[in-house]
Amino acid sequence: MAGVHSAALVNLPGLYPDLARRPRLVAVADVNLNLAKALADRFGYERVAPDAEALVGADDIDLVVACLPPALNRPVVLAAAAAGKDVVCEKPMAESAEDAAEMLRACQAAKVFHGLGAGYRWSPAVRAIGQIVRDGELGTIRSLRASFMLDYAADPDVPLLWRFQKRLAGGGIAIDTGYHLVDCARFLVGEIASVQAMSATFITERPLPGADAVGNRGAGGGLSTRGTGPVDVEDAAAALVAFEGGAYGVLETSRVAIGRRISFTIEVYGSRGSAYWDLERPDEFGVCLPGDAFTFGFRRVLVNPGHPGAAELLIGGTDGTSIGWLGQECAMWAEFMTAIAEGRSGSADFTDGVRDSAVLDALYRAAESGTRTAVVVPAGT
Amino acid sequence: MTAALGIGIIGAGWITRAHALAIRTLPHLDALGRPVRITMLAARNPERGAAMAGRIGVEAFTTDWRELVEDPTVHVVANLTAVAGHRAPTEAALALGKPVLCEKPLGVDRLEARALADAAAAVATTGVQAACGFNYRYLPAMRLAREIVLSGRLGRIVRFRAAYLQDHAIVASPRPPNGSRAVTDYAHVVDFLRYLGCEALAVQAMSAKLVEAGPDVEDAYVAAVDLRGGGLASLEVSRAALGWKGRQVVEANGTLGSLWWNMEDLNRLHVFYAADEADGTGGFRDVLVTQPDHPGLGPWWPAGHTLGWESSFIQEWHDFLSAVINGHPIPAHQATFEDGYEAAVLCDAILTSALEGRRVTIQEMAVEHPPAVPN
Repeated sequence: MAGVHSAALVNLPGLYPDLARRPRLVAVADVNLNLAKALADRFGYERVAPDAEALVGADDIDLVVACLPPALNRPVVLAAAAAGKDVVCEKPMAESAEDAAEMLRACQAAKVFHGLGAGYRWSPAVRAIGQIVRDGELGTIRSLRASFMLDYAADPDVPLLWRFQKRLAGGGIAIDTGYHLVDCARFLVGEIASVQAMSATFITERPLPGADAVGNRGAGGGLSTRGTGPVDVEDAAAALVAFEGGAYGVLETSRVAIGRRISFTIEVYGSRGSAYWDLERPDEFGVCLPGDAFTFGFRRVLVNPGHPGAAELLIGGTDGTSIGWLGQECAMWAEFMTAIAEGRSGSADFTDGVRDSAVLDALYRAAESGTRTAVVVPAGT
Repeated sequence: MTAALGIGIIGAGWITRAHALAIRTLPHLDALGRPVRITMLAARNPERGAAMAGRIGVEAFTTDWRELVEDPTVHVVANLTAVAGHRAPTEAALALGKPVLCEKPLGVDRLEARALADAAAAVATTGVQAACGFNYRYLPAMRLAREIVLSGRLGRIVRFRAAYLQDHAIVASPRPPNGSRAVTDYAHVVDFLRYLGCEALAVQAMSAKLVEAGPDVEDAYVAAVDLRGGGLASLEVSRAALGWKGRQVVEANGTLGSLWWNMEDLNRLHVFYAADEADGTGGFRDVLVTQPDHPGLGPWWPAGHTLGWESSFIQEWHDFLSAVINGHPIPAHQATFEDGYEAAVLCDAILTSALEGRRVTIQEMAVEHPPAVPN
């Protein structure tokens, strides 16, 4: 994800020439020094910092981006806030809502900017659906159906990366891509009150990774000869959620869904109409609205410059020119840069991060207990 | 109980199965007011014909179409044989006052099609119906497409395109090369142009033989067509387009909207109204054409229950036999012999343009004086 954020930041001035503040890529740190050097070379960071502490403490750095395994973000964010740096933290911010709340409070106390790296709510098509929902075009929202299906873990030879260890990841696929379901559900429909859930682990032992294993599949590291280790987090999870507004939601995520490389779909059903989106066709959405019964059906709407956040990203100047995955990250960063310049919080900040994590906390408790579980948002957040 | 309306079928090719299935299914779909029965089958090849008669459950079989046309149990003739066998039996049946549904293409060329259209016109005044088997007009999405176009909601159609792509000429063709031409075999796309309210003025076409084996006729063509009132149509056909089995795509762009359809997803019609763009939700509507209030679907299933390719034959026979039983002309959306003639004129214009390498007008292809019936 550091590469994705870097690519977005590099492209930002070209896409948003009127930005009040332009990013300058100063330093990158990683425990894997080779990775840090490669990233610095690729995107033009001025230097590689020896470690996160050095990076956070540097005078020429104004903003720190934390994109670490969930369990490792907190110390970096707390140190950055303490040093008076603005912070952007990739989702999931932390292993739990309590930890995320501590990060939020630290930023609030230090009066620094805090932005949540949850990219999909910045997709122009998802934002367009959000606007259609908020404009009341779909009437009262009755249900949301969302799924995030992948297959990178279907291969039992994929090594025991941090994503398969609770100690680092805080959970399995629910806290990882289930997070996007929760964040987009909240973005589109509203806060979630309670959760019922199931989860499952299908591959319980994996080979230990080689020293340089990176990415979802552990590429480049080779397999260790040191044997295997236990997977202590889920490969798949499904949840029924109750929104505070009365709607319900069906969420499902899996990393062993063979054939689904990244399939993220969202459907919203209201009393007046419906809408859907599919990441495999990211720059279009479907909407069904009242009207002529003869030609009743979903309209396939291509994102056009009139849709939220789309004009700058449609560099061809018209609908039909694709935006893609990087575009949503650019839109997010443009918003963050604007918010920093205006001295306000980001749209999608650590408050969202705390609430997203609170829903996931409830999901894990519900899957374990088998009962409907209330979402508990930490006090004061 | 009213005596059954007897239908005689000429031809024992695979399309006979589609028509027989339709005629047998009709009573389950809608009461026509009179029982309907296939009473006789005629085919030149005795083994093939007898086998087909057995397969579709028809007791009387003959190798002589004259016997069928004259048989008193045959009230209606279905001429489903190859195009070379369309003219004589059809004219004979019409002359006896027997309604005929004749498969497409109507005649081997525009001259023959003109003669058949004249034969139909001669008996139309006495209430004898004739229909040409452009069955795809009856797929529900295309029925709806026609209604939308004729309603004016798309404005004036200024651009029409149709393509019919298959690969059966290359991939394990079950049929021996019989000299059938791509232009006339795929007359459906030519008919769709007129079905959606467009009229051709002139044609520029190119064609190609793409398969080495078989007779020296084209396997593919592309044609550009000037439309009456301004506008442009393109027609494209191939029976050697590897990978495509039944890709028939029809699209019409009007001044107020557009629609398109693909036979591989035949229950869907995609409709765009420019007016939808005002509020940011403009886009092609994905219309699942299965609603009972969609054209022709009243007797079928509740909304959402899809229909298949064979439904077009059932609908075609429903309308044709309803007209026969009730003594009405066939409905405006069904293809007449005049429609068969118009399709033949356009097909001949395409063939002539491709052969001579020039722009060919519809006017110069029109047949004013049909030739006498050959002996």
